[in-house]
Amino acid sequence: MALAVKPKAQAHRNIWRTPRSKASWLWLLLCILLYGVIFAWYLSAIHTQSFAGPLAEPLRTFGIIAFVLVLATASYSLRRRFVRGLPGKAQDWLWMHTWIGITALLIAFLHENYAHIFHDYCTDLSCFTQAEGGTSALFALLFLVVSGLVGRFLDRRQTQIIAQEANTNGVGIIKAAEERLLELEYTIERLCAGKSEQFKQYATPVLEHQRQLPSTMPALSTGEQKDFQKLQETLRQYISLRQSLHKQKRAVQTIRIWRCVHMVLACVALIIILFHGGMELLTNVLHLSP
Amino acid sequence: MQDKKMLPIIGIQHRHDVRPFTEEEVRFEIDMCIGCDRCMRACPVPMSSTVTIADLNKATITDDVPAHVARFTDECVMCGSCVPVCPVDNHRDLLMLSLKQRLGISWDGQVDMNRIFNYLPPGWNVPGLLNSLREQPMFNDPQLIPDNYLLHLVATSKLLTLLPGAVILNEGEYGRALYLILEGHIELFSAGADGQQLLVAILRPGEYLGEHGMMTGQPRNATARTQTAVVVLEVPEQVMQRLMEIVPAVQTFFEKLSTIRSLEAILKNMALFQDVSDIDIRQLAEQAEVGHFERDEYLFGEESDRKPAREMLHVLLDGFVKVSRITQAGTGRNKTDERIIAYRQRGDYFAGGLDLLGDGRSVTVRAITRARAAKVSHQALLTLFARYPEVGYRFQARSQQYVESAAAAQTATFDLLKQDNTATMQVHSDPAARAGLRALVGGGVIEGTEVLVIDLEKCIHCNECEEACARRHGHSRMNRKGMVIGNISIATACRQCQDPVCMLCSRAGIARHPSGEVYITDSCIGCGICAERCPYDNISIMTLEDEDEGDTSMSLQRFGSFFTKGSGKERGGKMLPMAQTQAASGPLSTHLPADPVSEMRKKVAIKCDLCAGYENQACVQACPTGAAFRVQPTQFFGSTEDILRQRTV
Repeated sequence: MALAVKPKAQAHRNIWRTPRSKASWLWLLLCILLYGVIFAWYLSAIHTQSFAGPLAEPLRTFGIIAFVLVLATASYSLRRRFVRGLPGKAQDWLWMHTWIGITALLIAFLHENYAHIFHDYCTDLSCFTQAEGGTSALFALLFLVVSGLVGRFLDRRQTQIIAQEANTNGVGIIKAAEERLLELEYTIERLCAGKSEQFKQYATPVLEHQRQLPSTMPALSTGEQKDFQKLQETLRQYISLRQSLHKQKRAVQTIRIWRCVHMVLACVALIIILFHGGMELLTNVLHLSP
Repeated sequence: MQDKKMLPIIGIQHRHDVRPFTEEEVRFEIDMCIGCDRCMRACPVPMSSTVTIADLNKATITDDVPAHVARFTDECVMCGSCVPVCPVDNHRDLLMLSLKQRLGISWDGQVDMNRIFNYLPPGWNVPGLLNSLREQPMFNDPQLIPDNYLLHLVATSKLLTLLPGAVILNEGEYGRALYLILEGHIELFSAGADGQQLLVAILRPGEYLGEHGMMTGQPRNATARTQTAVVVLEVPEQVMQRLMEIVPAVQTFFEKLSTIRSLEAILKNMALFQDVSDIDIRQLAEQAEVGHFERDEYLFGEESDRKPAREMLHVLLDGFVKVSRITQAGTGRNKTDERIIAYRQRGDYFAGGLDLLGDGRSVTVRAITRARAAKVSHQALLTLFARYPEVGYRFQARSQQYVESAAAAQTATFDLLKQDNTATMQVHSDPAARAGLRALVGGGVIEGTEVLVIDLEKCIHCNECEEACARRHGHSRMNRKGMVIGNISIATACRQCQDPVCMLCSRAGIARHPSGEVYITDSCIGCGICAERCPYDNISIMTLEDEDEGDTSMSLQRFGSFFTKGSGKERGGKMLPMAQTQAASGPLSTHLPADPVSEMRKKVAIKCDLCAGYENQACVQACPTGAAFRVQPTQFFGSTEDILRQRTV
């Protein structure tokens, strides 16, 4: 059964308030606490140390924390795609992914002491390869987080479009709209069956993706007039529903494309960050590499 | 052949419109049959694979009925799956009905006494058992209910021996079994206002309990605990239904009892009947006639042929109805010929076919869910008015009050949120919200106890909910598409209705957990009767052969989807339940299981059971944005009373 209530007012508004996950607030609070502590530590180091760099404590520790947070952020993919038996709702994990991802970037900024962001801007490509690709890792994380935030914004906008269309097209979401379109096509074909060529030609362009009813009215016999009125009404519904379906599909497509972009970026960023983290671990912590 | 008019039609409660064939029609249809066997292949009854169309045709027109055909005929559930596949448009279902009628009621046959002997507690014998059963008021007439029926009743039920302190029923839990007390005492408790258990009654041998749940499908209204050692007969709902079909007097007994109790409770709560003695209220209730109405059926109408007698009182006992007036063609809501005036529910009443709207004009009333209404006659009311003149004055005063309210309403504006208990209402007072409320009531959403809703403003259409459901149950039991109201979409998934019309399965293939989840049992053969009865298309039928083929052909797709959607199972993921198992026999079955192949089910019904047995619901758990969630409609959208109170002018 698919049925939508056609509201009289076209302005879209959230009629029913839906519950929000408590986990979003919990993770936000934890991240604020973590960042607050680390930022206080950072301020204290800035004021007490003559030089604060990524290789010196405590900024080096900030790098390690940021690295761990990046891994924690990536664990969302693990819960979402592979280990679905992990406890908690997927949406709670997504909130964890969102807030920890942002916190990881902010802590990574502290690790670099905001170099390349607010000062010491990169002037050539060698900037991206120095310190075992540290700058590349920072920018990869930055782009990744920005892509996530853009994606969140896009999600909100596109879901609003879909909700608006589903609520006003009289049928519902894509699945229901596709089924209804098929029914309307059958109805149009049934109405056209056994009718004159002019009658059929009036309907054909609409079925072939014309966006408006043909402006020229065909000369029809009296016997076809009644069915022609029905045909016009059906074609109007068909056009309107097809446009709605198109908008919904475009919105879903936008959401999916963003997801692909975000996932590709995530893979690239993770490789760069893992390289940087691994090499730093080998050279500056374990002193295994020259 | 015997005279068809004399033969009872048993086991086809789901097909009220069926008309048995005459002998000529049977012969004509058999002559038409080309023996292609398609009907037998489409038949969901597991043992249909062992019966040939030739055997069946021969049995239908001769007295030569082999044992396996007789058993198949007994197991036929009259689902009608055989009809649409017939290339010559034969009505195989009516041919089966004809054969069923000829073979007679299975309860007239021999009883499997071994089953009864196995049940009998120490010291009991069959005559003693029958004597105990005869103490029950509905079984006391041996002319009406012969011993053989009672023995069948016992053979298909469970005889329970319980120690003192054992709980038989819990208040608030769902259950439709009837308990007949054969020995011992049972205490009935009801929760008081402070939650404390109050003793309501002590039941003795010859009494029964559980009839409220059996007749209405509502949760148990009392807790029953054994006071002494007790012997009770637990009669499954299907067995009781079969007895009611065979002996309509038993049905009349329980219906009358249920009507009287419900009507008494409603009348006692009505201010109009204040100060009327309990005896008079009971007398009024006893005089009332009860009417059962299916969805969309008229209770009464404005037209002269449907109009009820003046001063007749209609009281709604169960269900929801829509009050409307016929308009000029196409001028009503959504260009219909009717204008909806109000929705009414249990406890509301209509006097003389008038809704208490105050304009003195009659209305049309149609059921929007399965409904039950009591009709109190003009004469019975006049008798009561004569005894209690103040009741008559109250009716007049109430009528006057409504006339005045109606006049005032012409100049007033009703606001949806101008109520005392707005806390539960989460809607804005605007036309969209009001339209939403109308759709919720009209679409039967308020009938549900647990509804899966999707917030379209959060849903990213990743389909993860359906996929999680499929991962857990082997096949998705939900569909995201559904009724859209504002930003909410009511997904196509079982709503666990308060009064589920789907639960009419003679095999007990669909049942309800005490906690309320309606689920498909091991006895399901996928006949589709429940799916056909569900008004919301929330039950689907799966052919298990297709499922097996699908599994092998999908392996490449699965390999591909590893990269796009990942892998891994939902917690507790498993194959489609019951796919590889034999169909369990229903409570009415008296046959011993045949060979495993003939017991293997061909189809199975699929429906959401709220992931009963799991600690969470897969769809809700897997939604990454929190768009999918389960709600109790009355809490989320506002209480039923809140919704129904809205005048939808």
